[in-house]
Amino acid sequence: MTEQSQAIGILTQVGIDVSDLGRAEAFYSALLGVKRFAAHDNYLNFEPLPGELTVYLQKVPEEKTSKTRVHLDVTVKDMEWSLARVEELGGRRLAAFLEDGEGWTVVEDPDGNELCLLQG
Amino acid sequence: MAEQAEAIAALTHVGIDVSDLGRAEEFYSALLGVKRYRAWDEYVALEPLPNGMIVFLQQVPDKKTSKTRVHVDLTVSDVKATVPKVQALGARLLVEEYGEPTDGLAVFADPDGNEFCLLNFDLDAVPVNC
Repeated sequence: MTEQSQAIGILTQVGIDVSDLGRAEAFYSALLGVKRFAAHDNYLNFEPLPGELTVYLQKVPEEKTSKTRVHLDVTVKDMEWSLARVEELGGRRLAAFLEDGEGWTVVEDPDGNELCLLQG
Repeated sequence: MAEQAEAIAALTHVGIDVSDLGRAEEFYSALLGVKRYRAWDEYVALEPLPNGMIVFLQQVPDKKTSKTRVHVDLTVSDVKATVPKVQALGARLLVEEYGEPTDGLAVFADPDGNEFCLLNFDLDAVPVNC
């Protein structure tokens, strides 16, 4: 393999389509432990996460019609506690792939966007 | 606003569905400047990015049928100059805009059609409205 070339771009943001900005803000703010940083038009940006990655929400008119083909994985310390919190926040657990305290659980956010909780 | 509670989880990975692992590895490896880190079953994980995030690819049998509702944005210093480099990797340019509030925005579809953006964007320039 040849020497790796310079990155073309730096991954700095992840955008999530939602139908209700307030509901999604409550969900992702609690999930990721970040507050709102800015809001403008149909957008809501959270404070940067550790590592300077920023998550933002964008309100879109169309409904989700198929699986989310780009998804986020979040690492948790206590799977059951985290799943219970996700459910309290309007998320839903879909499938568990857990064995001997390792693995992940697929959940969806209140808009149906899939994400995974990884056992850290 | 009440004091922020502890995070339920830490955002550590972004997973991307693809139809051809080799093609997608070549694309994202060049785009993000990272080599393959691990490969197993239908997965390829790229090396952690400078911010610690790991991007991984997963080969799936289903085709993309609608817009990618979770997408990544890449920051570049010169959108216009970078567009041809991304096209040369096999991405399709969907939208190109220059003006406020971004100093350049290009929306692409990767070789599998998954949308992502290239931008030169200063979050601090966005009006705070909390």
